[in-house]
Amino acid sequence: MAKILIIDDDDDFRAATSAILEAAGHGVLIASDGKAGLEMVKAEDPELIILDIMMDSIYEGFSVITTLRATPEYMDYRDIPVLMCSAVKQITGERFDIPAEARIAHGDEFLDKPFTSEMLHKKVNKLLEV
Amino acid sequence: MSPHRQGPHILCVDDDQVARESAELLFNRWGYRVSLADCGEAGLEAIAQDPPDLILVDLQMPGMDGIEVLEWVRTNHPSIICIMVTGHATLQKAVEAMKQGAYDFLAKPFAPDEMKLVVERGLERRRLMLEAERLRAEKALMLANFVTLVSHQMRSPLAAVRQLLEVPASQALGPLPEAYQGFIKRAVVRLDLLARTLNTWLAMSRLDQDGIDSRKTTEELAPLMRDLVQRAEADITAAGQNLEVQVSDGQCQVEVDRESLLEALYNIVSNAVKYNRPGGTITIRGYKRDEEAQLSISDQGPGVSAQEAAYIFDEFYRSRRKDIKEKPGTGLGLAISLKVVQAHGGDIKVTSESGEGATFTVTLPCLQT
Repeated sequence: MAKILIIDDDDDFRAATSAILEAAGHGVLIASDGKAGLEMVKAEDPELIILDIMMDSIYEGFSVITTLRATPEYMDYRDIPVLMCSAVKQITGERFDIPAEARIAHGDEFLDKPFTSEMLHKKVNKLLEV
Repeated sequence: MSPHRQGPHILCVDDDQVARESAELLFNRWGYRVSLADCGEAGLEAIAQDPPDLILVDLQMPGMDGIEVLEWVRTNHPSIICIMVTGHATLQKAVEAMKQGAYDFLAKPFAPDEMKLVVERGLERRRLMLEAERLRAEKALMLANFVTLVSHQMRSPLAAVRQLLEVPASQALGPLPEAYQGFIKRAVVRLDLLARTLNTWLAMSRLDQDGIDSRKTTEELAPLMRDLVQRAEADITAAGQNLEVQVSDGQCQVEVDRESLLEALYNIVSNAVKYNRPGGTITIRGYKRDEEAQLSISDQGPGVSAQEAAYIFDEFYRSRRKDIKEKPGTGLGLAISLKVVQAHGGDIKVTSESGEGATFTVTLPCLQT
């Protein structure tokens, strides 16, 4: 079973998601913002990251994935698969489609919040190539 | 450079060197940041480069006088407080300046305390003005972003509750006693419907005339109807109902935002399927009549009473009838359809005999061919 890092500012989401993943036998690490998440990546080298897009700043998840994928500092971690998720798909007044942006930002998969445990397991297993 | 860079910024415009120097001395002592200008023109330049909070301006100067400076400031920087200084304390001049929007005036000679008081009052006035301005701007922004606000403040907690509920619903931590399962399942159904209502409402709030106009393309009626049928077919079959399609092949062109319109029509079909009698037939028709494209969707359900027909397109309207109330719905489907059709210059009418099904007819203006 895999070591999975959840980066999300909503503790209810973290609690629910980690309960579902832990029950399936995964080891779960949590971080409540992008900065803590990136530190955790270096310290723990997880096999999969579940990353919320809208945290303290509305597109914080995008800056996390950009850092991870494109800075020399994270050279050794840039291939960790990332499952991006968001409760909001579009922001009024902005011609900006969040799932599409998540693909452009090299997120490997996207999941709408809330998700069923079945959907979560499906995406996680796909990314872990189980 | 004054040591009090953070204090309020005062500009003193006066052609009298002694007056400027004493003002500088006093304002520095009181903790203000001071700039000086020796004529009206220099004053305007100083304001343009570094707008002060308050201006102390001499009324009578050679060249551009105090009133002209005042006029320029009122037009270009209305939030800057202007205090007029006059050597000839003629009431008439001061009144004129006050009429033009000066905040107050000081008659030479004046005591330093008098100046201090007038300036402090002026700065307080500016603070209140800026505060009011900030609140107004904040309110306007909030209104403009209401939908975004709803997204954040309502969708996020709703999504979190649903996610928490997923733990017992999926029995992730072990089997749930059967007595609880039904309750959890019902909570999930209600919550999912609430989320859907909110999403539909958000989608509706985003619909605007300009957006629809900008996406309009010229389409033939028949292929448009074929697309609708393709979308709806699976739902109708899955519900155990029959589908009948009658679309005339004659030329009929409409200018539409394809996606929005198909979604609007699909809503009407879904509605018809929902209220149809078991095993009933849904009939979809498309034809041209009186230079109008008419698209109709009929079911064989309980029908719509004349009273209900008046409200059926209202936002959040749901039928009071028991057999209909029991079916889950957001109360927004038809409202959103009507809004889309009206944005196309069309209309939707419902005709029904109670107990004999209902027919929803969408009319759209045709292009002249």
